Amino acid sequence: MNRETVLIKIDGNEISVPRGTTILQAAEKLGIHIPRYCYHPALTTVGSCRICQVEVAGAPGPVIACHAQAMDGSEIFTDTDLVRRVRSGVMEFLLLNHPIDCPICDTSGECDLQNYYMTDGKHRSRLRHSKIDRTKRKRIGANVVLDQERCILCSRCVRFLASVTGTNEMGFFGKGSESYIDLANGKTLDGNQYAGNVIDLCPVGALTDDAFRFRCRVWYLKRAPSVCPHCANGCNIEVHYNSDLCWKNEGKKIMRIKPRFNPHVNGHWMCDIGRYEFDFAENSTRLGRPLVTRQGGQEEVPWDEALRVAAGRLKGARDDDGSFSIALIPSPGMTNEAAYLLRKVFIDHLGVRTTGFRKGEGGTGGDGMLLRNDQSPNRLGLEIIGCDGPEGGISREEMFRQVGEGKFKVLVFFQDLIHSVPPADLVGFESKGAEFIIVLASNTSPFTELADLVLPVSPWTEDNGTWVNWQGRVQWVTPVLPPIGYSRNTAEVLAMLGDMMGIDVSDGESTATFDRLAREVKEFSGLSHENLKEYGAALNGAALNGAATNGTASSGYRGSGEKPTND
Amino acid sequence: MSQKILSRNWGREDSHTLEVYQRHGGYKAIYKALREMKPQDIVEEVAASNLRGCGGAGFPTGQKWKFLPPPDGKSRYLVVNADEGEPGTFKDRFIMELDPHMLIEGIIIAGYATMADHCFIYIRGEYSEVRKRVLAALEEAKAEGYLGGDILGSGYSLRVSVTSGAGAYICGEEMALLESVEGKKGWPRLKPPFPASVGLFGRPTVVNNVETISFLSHIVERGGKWFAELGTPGNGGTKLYAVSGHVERPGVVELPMGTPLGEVIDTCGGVRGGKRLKAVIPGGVSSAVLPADAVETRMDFTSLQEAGSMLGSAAVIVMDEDTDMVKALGVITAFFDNESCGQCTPCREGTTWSHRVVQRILDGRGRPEDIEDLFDIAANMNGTTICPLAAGAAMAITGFLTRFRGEFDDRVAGGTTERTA
Amino acid sequence: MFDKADEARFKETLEEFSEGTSRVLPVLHFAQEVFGAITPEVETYLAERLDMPIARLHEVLTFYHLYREYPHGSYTLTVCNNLSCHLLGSEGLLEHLEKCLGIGPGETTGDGLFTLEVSECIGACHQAPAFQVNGHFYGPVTLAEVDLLLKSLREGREEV
Repeated sequence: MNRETVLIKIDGNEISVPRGTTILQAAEKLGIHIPRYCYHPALTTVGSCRICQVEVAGAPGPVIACHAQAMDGSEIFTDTDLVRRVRSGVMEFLLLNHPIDCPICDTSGECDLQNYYMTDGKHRSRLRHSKIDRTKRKRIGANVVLDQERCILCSRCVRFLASVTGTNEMGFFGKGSESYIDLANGKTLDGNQYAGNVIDLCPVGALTDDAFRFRCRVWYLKRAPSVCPHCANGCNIEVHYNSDLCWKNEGKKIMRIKPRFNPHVNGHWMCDIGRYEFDFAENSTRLGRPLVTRQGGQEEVPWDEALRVAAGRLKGARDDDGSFSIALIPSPGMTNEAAYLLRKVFIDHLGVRTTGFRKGEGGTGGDGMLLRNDQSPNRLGLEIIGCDGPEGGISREEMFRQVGEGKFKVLVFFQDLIHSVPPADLVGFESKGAEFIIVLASNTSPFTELADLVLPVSPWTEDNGTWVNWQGRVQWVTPVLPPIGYSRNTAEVLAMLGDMMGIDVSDGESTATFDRLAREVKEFSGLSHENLKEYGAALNGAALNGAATNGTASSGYRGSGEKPTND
Repeated sequence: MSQKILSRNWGREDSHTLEVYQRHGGYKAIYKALREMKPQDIVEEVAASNLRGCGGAGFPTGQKWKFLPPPDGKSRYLVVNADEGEPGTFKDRFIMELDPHMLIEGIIIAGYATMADHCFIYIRGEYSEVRKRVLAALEEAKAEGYLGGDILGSGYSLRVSVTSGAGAYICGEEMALLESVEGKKGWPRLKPPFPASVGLFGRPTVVNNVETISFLSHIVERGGKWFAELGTPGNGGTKLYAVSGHVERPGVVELPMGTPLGEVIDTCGGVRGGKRLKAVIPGGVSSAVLPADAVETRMDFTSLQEAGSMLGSAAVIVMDEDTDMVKALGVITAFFDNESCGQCTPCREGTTWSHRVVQRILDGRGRPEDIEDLFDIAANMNGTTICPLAAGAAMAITGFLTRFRGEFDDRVAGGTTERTA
Repeated sequence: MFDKADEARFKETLEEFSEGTSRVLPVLHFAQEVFGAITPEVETYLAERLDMPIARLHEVLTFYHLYREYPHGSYTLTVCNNLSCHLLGSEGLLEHLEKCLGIGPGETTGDGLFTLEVSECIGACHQAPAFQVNGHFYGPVTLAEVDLLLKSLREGREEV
């Protein structure tokens, strides 16, 4: 017997676990779910809800599984009369003062009081006096709505704000049954970039999302995994969308975004930027068809016509004036698959030597927790693939300036798929320095309005491809929704363009393209979409740059207004 | 004549001064302890004495001290629990007001035996004047060289600080007390780890009650065996019983451990006004109430546990024949409702719920189901919480309902079926 | 907010209770002595002086019964309502005080003299029904004795 492991039995199932493992953690390894409210793997253990109590042979009474360590040779039972009585007792105590708001509560359908009542409660109310009144629907900042009556005082929110963000906006005040959770005097969750996580943490409807309020019943939601596009951290997310009730939300399907656990990247958390900024993916500014500017304005054209125009312009410029007449501005939000094809078409085939993408521009450092200063999800990917060109790239601003000076015949601009671009950058466009401007974009913008040719591409919600985060972890972004209109993945567009110019590229299919990339670029060697499926994978041979600040321990985060750290 | 150990100076004028204490034999034991004994020797004597914690839990003191790990050169703490919040208890107040030096001498010995370098005396906030007495006595002891560095040239140093509670019964529970000393609200900590390994500021700590500590100088002077033989098997020494309620002479009496309950009451003049005895709470309101016919019960930890109750803090509350037992339970459930810290579900909700039910019964709106509900609430609170407060509430409720069921049945018989506020 | 003398005592308290955060309760007791109550303004000030988040300080304040957010009258009259005192007439004492003073528990008389508080057991069961004025124990008191005491207090003749 190893001193480092202990052998225990839970409900007759034997398991060997490292010394120090709690009963609850050991049970999870066996696939046995023990009910819990106050316990959360990323927060301190407080053992206060008491619903995780189990029976241990030889112990004088029930013990809490979240705190009690598995002792060698012990026998644990999670489904005896004693355990059922304890759980039912706790459920009754919790529901005693809980308002039955289910018909109007957003958490209905994913509420742990409902869930555990159905499995472990099912008692009839014996309450013959009134429930305690408290403040309901109090907006406490950053899209969070507090309902103190629904609160079961599990204190997860208080602990998160104390030990994960270290910002201490909330507290557990009062005493006994007069206890209540609230903001501390003068505090607000506004300015806390991670406030939305308390909504995920709340097991009941005490903390709900104002942005999601009354929007859709959760049982209509489908869930799809994805990766957040808003910065170089690449937090794993889950997109919740409604595709059945088409009259809701002006037809937009995505209802909300939640973090998805990845121990190497973001732990259990995500920031509010990624959580809330997704409207552009489906709103009315989405481009659905290729556009060509003719007299009188922009005209919708079919893809093959648009691509013929593009191919013609590009080849013409290269043949007449050399590849130096093509200005190329890639977007560090492109997938690696698209970046690979961009390189194939523009750099290898068309001979572009310098692009408007320069290495080392995103900035290092972040806020000490998840948010990175580099607001692009795949800068590192583009750098490795060489999208700056064989002679190195110049800054985007510099490229615009040169375009404005009339140095180029054709400008191909890959619009960032997320952020609105500051008007100052339009300088090169406005002076019509280039004869022909091609813009690949998902949404209309001042750029698309000035373009001669607009190719509609997918935002990340419809795209299929990989990104490399700042640490060098490759993660696969799979489509959540089908394309709007006739928009296509950037990789597919580049493949079609290449095909039209007679270049041997793949058909743009994502997995096949990644395999080609992995064969040609040594950092990606050995990787495939398949082995990225769970938590992504590190670039070949790359030591990951810095440890993940996945927020399980006290991070360097100090709230907004603090200078970001550099690592 | 029973031994007067703790209370021997109480009748003397200025008994609280060092001069009087010393004149009558005080501060001799510390010489023996610090100069002739090793810490381990003292621990053994205390273990042999069968001294049991006087704060309520009755845990054998020597055994508690033996949980301490070997010293590692860093700080260790002794905490004296002077929170004395269990209703009916006022014995520690007597010790601190009338003979604080006996406590201080015990502190020096306990500190030495447990190798503590800093002692906190946590005095409840309501005892502001008692605190002044203790502070004055500490100054006297310090001036005499009995506290501070290198006490009596032994090489042992001890610093004593007095900190005040702020009105929370739960802070008498040792795990909550530690939180309170550390400047937080009194939420009892989870066990394990136990204070002996991780206590105050994460360091090995022993928490002992005032009375427990006050016995130590005597155990050192006369030996553990002597102390054990004064009491009953497993329960050594004498005991301070704080007697209140319907007695002629409420007060604190020192009697041999295990004195029968009736004798304890008689020592205080018996039931007042010549009334008949109806019920007695033997160990503070967290202990199960006993009926009048239990007067033969020996008042020690073991016997009372066998009788389905507990010695607890030895706070004896006497109730005469005119006592309304339903009202009495209402007072007790109000207490637990007020004092629950609120951290864990069964206690937070159960103490309030049970009180509201009893209150409804008192208001004439009870129903027969309410009594079964109360038993059930008590059962769901008992043994399912972080600390024993809820278990105390459960014991109090079931004690009253079991022993005086008739009174409760009568009260609910005329109950209505209206829903109430 | 502390004047020079208070600042010196404050510093002494910090020195004596230098381990961990043991200074919190002692400082709160001291501040209540100085300011009469821990008002929101005092609380904000202390959170800063103690270098602790205001949420943690507010938790402590709202937990402990003896800390008050509003000043009391010159005399805080505390009546125990627990079992031993109940058995010996605390309810009658409380009713009498409420009638004489015209206030309920937690309230202060209009002249700012008396604040009435009900508490749990204060360790004076042998003096039941237990009664404190500004923390000083009186009792056992008859209703007549209480009336005399109130009169003395009103006339400033009683040293508490």
